[in-house]
Amino acid sequence: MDCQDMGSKLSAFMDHELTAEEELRLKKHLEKCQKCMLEFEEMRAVWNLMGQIPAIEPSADFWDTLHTKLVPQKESPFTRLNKVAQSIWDTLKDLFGVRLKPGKAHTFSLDVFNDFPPESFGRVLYPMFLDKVK
Amino acid sequence: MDSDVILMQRIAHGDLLAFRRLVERHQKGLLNFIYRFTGDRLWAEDITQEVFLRVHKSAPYYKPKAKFSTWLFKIATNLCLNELRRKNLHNVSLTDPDHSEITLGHLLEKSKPDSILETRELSMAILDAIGALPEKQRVAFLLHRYEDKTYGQISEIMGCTVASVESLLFRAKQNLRKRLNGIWRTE
Ligand SMILES: [Zn+2]
Repeated sequence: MDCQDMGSKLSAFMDHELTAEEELRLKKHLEKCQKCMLEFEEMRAVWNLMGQIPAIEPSADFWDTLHTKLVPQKESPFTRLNKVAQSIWDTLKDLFGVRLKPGKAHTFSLDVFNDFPPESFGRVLYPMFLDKVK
Repeated sequence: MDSDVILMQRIAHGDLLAFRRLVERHQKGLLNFIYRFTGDRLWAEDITQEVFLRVHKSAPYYKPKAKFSTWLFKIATNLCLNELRRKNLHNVSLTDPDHSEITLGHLLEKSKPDSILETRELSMAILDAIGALPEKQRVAFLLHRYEDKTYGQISEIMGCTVASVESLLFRAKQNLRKRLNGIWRTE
């Protein structure tokens, strides 16, 4: 073993990752080679130096923040109802061929609901659609 | 204390308390690993949370093949590398003439001879030096130096051979030494 192969072996030696046999050969080399010994000491000094960064602490609300990301945002009852309304509307559309067109026509067809009796389906649906149309 | 594997099984069944325990057990280690990788506290916390979200999501499919922490750091490493690429952070290379031997020389000149650098300055300088390592060297070094991972574990986490871990770590140490040249002599 000469100084040429030493580099990565010195590093592995410091990390206790050499086989017993390799370790023995390396130790023998270090005993008689000042240059590699110095190299090794410097490597170790850097290693120790690297240990001097203080650890940081997670922020106090770490868990709370994580928790909110974890639980999918609960839908408001309104959004849920709106989805139901949408699916009812889709069915109506298919059944009676009612068309919702973008733009003015859209608003117009929804306004039709306004004429429905207060307790009727259309009256219930109307305010929810209003929100969508706006 | 429940092992990580048992906690993971409970998490798979929707046990939130188990998840919280797992998070509390690993958050600090993971956060510091990611912080040392990115050098940015807030960003590190975001990525750490993302790691835990992925852990939670994959709990039902988790098979304890490797050590739990190996698996955890594998997720963290991949996320760090992806995030870094996504943010397209400028990776200062050691061979970059503009940045060679930065800050430390200056820091040393400024400080009185034989004095120990301010802890803050010192840790900034160390973080700088770590941040200047090429990505793979940086991951390998952080896993080894601060997480006590063996070459074998690192190779598993990084998906490379033990021989390349050895070489990565050697080059990382060489680079750090060049960068931090002389600083330890003041201690
Ligand atoms: Zn030698």
